[in-house]
Amino acid sequence: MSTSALAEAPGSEALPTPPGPPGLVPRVLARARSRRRSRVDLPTRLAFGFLVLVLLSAVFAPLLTPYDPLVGDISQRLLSPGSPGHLLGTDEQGRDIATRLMFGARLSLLAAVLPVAVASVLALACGLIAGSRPGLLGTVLMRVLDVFFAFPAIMLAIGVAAALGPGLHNAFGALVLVFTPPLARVVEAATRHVAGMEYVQAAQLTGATRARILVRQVLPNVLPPVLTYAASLMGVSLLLMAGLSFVGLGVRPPTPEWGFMLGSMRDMIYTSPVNAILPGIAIFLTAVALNVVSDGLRDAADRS
Amino acid sequence: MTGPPILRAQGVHKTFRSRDRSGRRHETAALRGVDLEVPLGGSLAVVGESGSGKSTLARILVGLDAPDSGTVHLDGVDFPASTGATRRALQRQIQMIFQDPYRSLNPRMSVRSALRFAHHAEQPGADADEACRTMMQLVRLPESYLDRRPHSLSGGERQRVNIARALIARPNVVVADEAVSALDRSVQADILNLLADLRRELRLTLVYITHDVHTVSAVCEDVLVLHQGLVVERGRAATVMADPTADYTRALVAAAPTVDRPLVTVRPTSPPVAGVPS
Repeated sequence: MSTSALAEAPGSEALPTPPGPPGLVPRVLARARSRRRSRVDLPTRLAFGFLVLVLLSAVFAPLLTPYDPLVGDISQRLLSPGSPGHLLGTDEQGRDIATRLMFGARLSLLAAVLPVAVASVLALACGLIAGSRPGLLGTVLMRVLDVFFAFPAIMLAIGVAAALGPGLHNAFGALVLVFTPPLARVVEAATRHVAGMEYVQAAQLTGATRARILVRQVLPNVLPPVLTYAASLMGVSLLLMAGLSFVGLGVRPPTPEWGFMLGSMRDMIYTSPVNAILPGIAIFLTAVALNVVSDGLRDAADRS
Repeated sequence: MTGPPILRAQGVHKTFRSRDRSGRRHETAALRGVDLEVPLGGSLAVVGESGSGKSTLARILVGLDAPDSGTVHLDGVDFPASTGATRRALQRQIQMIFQDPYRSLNPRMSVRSALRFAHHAEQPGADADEACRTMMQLVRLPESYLDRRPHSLSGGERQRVNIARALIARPNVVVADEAVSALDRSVQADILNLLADLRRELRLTLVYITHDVHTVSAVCEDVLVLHQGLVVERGRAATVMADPTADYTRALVAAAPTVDRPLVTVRPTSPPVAGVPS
C-alpha cells in the first residue's frame, strides 16, 4: 500500500508522523488551529468590507465622479435620488450629494481615526508613567486627567472646540482632549497589572533600565486592551466630529464633511427629507461598521 | 567547594502596613531580625510554613523589596543601599527563580527573546544567540524550543526556561523561591535534580526557599527555619531534618507528608522531542 493510500485510510491519524523536519507537522497544525480560532465572524467581515468601500470611494473620489464637490448648479438644486446623472440627488446648492459624500468621507474617516490615534499615543505615555510610578507623579497625573471625566464627552468636545474657535484643527484637538483621559485610564490599569507580574520583576533583576523594561516587557502586554478600546472609540469619534461640524464648530463651508452636510441641509428636512438624511445615513452606517469591526476584532483577539 | 560569604543579611526587619475597610491600621511583622550567611558556592534552604516570611526574605535578598532595617551585603557591598550603575552591576550577580512558572514568563515573548533580553542586559550589544543555545543545553531543553512561546510549554518546561533566564545573566547567587511548588511531584524531582546538577557544574550559590522539608536535604547543605519572621533553628540540613531541636521544626517535620521512596529518583533519560508535549 502506498503512503498516500495509508494517509487516506480510516484511522490514519494513528499512523506515525511522515518524515520531515522535526516538529513541522505539529507546527503547521497549530498554526491552522490558531487561524481558525482567530478567524473573524461574518458580520465583522461585512462591516470591514463596507469600510473598505467607503475608504476606496474617498481615496478615488476624483476618478469616480465627474462633479466638483464644491460647485453646484442652482438650477439643479434638490433633485431627488435617482435623478438622471445624480444617483443620490443634489443638495440645496445643486451639488451632487454622492460626490460630496465621497469627498466628505475623507474628512469623516480621518476624524474617526486621527484623534483616537493621537489620543492613544498621549494616553500610552501618561498611563505607562502613572502605572509604573504609583507615587506622587503617577497620582498627580491621573487626578489631573480625572478632572475631564467630570464632563460628558459631547459637552467637553463642544466646550473645548468653542473655546478654541471653529475649525478643523481645533475640532481635532478637542476630540484628542476628550479621548485621552479614558484611554490613559485603561493604559494605567493595564500597566499596573502587568508591572506586578513576575516576568517584569525578573526583568528588573537582569539590571535592565526602567525604560527598557517598559518598552520591551510592559508595552507589548498593555497594547492589546488599549488597541481594542481605541478601536471602539473610532465610531464615537466619527459621531462627535459630525456633531461638532453640525453645530458649526468643525469644518468651514463649503468643505464637504458628513456632519456639516447634515447641518447645512437640516432646513430641507420637510421639503426633501430623503436628500436631507443621506449624510446621516452615511454617518450611521459607518459608525455601526466601525463598532462591529472593533467588536469582531476584540472577539477574535480573545479567541486567539 | 565553599568559600568566603558572598551573601550576608544582618538584623533584617520588614513590616507590612495596611488599613482595613474601617480605616484602622494593621501592621504585620514579616521579618524580625533575620541573620543569615551563605558562603560562595554554598547552599542554604529557608523553610517555614506559609506566612513565615520566606518569600519576603527572598525578595529582600534579591533586591525586589527593601528591608525596614538591617543590611544585606552581596559580595561585600551593601546591596539595598547601592544605586545606579553599581546597583545594576550588583543586581546581575543575584537572580531569582520564581514560584509560578505561568506568571514568570512574558506571554508575548518567545523563549529566545526572553533569554536575549536577560543576556542583553548583561552585555549590551552582544550577540546572545550562542548563549541562548548554551543555556538550553544546560537546562536540557532542545534548541527548537527557543522559538516557542510560553503557552506552548508545560509547567516543567517553563520552569526550565526560568532557570535558563536566571542563569544567562551569569549570577553568583540564585534564589529559588518555591521554585517547584507549582509543579507536580515527578516534575518537581526533575527540576530539583537539574538545580542540584547546575549548582555543581556552575559552582552556584543557592538559596532555596521552600515549605517542603522533604526536599531540603536533597538540595542544600545548610538550613534555616523561619517561624513568624524569626529564625527558630539553623544548622546542617541533614542534621536539622533528622534531629530537630526546636519545637516548631519538629512540628514542621512531623506535619510533612511522608513518601515510601526517596523523592529525587526521576531523572530525564533523554531531552524532550521537538513538537511532542512532555
